[in-house]
Amino acid sequence: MKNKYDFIVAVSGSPNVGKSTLFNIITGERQHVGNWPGKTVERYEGLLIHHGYRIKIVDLPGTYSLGALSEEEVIARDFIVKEKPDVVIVIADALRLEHTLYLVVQLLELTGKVVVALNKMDAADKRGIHIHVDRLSRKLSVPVVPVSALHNIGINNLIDRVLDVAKGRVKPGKFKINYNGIEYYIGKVEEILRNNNSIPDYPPRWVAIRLLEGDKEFENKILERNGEKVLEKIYEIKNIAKRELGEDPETIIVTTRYNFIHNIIKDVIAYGKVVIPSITISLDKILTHPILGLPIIVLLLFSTFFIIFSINTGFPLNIVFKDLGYENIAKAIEENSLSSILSKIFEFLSIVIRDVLNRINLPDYIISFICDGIIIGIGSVLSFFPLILITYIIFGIIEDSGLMARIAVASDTILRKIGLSGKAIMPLILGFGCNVPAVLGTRILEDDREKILAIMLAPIIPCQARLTVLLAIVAAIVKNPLQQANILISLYIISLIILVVMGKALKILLFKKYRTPELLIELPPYHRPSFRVISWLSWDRGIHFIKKAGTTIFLLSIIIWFMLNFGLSGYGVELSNSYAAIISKSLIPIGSLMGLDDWRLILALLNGFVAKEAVIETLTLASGATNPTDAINIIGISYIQALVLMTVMMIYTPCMPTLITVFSESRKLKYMIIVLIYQLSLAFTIGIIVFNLYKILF
Amino acid sequence: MRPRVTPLSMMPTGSTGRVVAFRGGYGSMRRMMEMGITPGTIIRVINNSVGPILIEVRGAVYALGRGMASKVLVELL
Repeated sequence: MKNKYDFIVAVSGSPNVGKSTLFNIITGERQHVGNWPGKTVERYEGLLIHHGYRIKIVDLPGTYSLGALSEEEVIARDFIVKEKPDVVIVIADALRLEHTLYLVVQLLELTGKVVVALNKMDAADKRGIHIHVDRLSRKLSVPVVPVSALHNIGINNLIDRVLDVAKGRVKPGKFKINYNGIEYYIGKVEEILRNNNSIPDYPPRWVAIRLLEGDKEFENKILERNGEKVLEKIYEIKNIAKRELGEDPETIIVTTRYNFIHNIIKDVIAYGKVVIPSITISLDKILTHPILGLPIIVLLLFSTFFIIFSINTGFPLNIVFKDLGYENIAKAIEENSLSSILSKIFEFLSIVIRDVLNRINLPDYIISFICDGIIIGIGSVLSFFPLILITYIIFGIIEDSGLMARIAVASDTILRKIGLSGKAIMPLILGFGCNVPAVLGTRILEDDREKILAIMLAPIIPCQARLTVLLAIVAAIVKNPLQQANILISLYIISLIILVVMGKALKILLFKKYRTPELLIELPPYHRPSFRVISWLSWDRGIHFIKKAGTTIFLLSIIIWFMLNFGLSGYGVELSNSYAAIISKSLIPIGSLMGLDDWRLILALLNGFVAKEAVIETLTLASGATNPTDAINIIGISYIQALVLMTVMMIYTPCMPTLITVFSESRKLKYMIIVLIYQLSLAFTIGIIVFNLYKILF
Repeated sequence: MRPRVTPLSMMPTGSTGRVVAFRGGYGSMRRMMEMGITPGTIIRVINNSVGPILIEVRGAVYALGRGMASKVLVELL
């Protein structure tokens, strides 16, 4: 790999220091996203050409520390030690210098090939925080470059200094923190490590310090490599240190490190004004309040979804204009929504290609395979893209502005009741847009069990695709807008009740000893989001998903095409004689339990497994109608059938892309199957209850 | 006068204190320390009403769960 590039540079930094923005500014459009080998953590790489040098830039996961507290921290330090980048750029935040220097100092203990990018210098100036950059550079014995990633200031200078270090023109000075009383024990552990050649890649002193801090990852490695005896010796030294010094070694080490930073800060920083603006404090007091903050947040999220849904499907903005009497505008909004444009493109493609193929006299089934199978298959893969993209963009803005952290705090009190912490609010609300980013979003949860719990709960959240199906059905069976709204709201409430009940149930059934992790979250300074960074991040994530799940969605679409077009007598049978219909008809006894005794309804539900929108498409196709309302009339769906169909569709199974994502994020087939089974059984049970209640009552 | 020591969760809004000690689990203590809440650190309480407590530590603002906050012992200044 290395010979393709002149240098390899890693970018590291704590969360909220502006790492993504800086990475984006440095690499421009030349970047790609993947996963770290064997991990669910995203890996970004890019290319920078500077003064003729080809430099590979690797974005390390954002971490507060280099201990082994999370997967990300292990990835970051392993990369630095094993892949030996020529330079590590570590970003410190001028607004929160003391806090963000913690990672910088840990990195400096590991490697000297470091350039510190001091970000948000312009904002610090405005706030009256003056930082003596040269003095900071001398104290850290590596170059420190003031930059503003958001406003693209100082980036050239930064890269020049990176090249200086890469080419050896600037030699880092010696950096060592004196841990005073504990130094003796560090030496002892170092000796054991050297004698046993325990963790050869890492500097022994660094590992020794980490082990005294209680690094589980290193402990496991020693156990594997050298066996229990060696590890016990290290534990013994740790215990002696604790006895002699009267305090846990980890407390002493972390405190010493922070004191070291505090002493630097005293010499390099001068405050002109208050550090945290009072407006931030007042705003935080309100927004994070579980009673005062929630209505504001609900309003914010409501408008957010209003925007997301309107861009994607036209609803509910079209209703607003219709009610105001602007039918034309409402229609224009519907026709120019992303999903409508996308489906028109594929319709058009299908017609054009069918025409061309007809002229060269290909057999019917091949034409159908290409036009109804392949093209529609690609279409359904791509139909997920705008959904995921817009959801990511809008929530990227909320997150980048600093609002998401406040939302997490405000919802902590409520979410604890279902076994989740406030941090889980982000993935859960993403789910109202699309369940796939919701499940992916659980990555931010540090506690493994909380993550699994959130992964399994997220698919219950009614996504936008389900909403479009509900809207189509409800519009066909009920004319009164108030009654329509009532039905929709009731269905959403049912979903949320299921969420609460399942949260409690799964917590008890799967994790007996599980205790919801306590919230510890930083509230970063509010700031203007960088739209550029958000859009490329969202775009990359969308593409990444399509690449990963695309093949499966596509294959399933082909299978569905086959089932719809082939029957016992081969290709070209009536839909009602197709394999799909045969299977659906055989399921009628089950469907009848909840009043769904028409094979077309069952077929629609089966098809909805690919993507929930397909429920409506199938009804339209199976009835030979041209729009959903006609389809529902032709099939003769009764009021109660429609109610049951909507209820079941809301709950019965996550769409396949969501299931794939559940599997890839939880990494256990078990959890995917649990999700599938509990949702299916819940849907049937509730379907049967709704049907029978209705029969009894009316 | 003896310094007044109280759990962080009991500190009133606007008060300042110095971290004296931790009680309780290794995991949560470790996470707090990594965030800069170490013995000797000065903490200012931005808000303590219902739900998580907002504190300022080393120039950064954190929200801390009440259970966790009750494990930090602070000497009021």
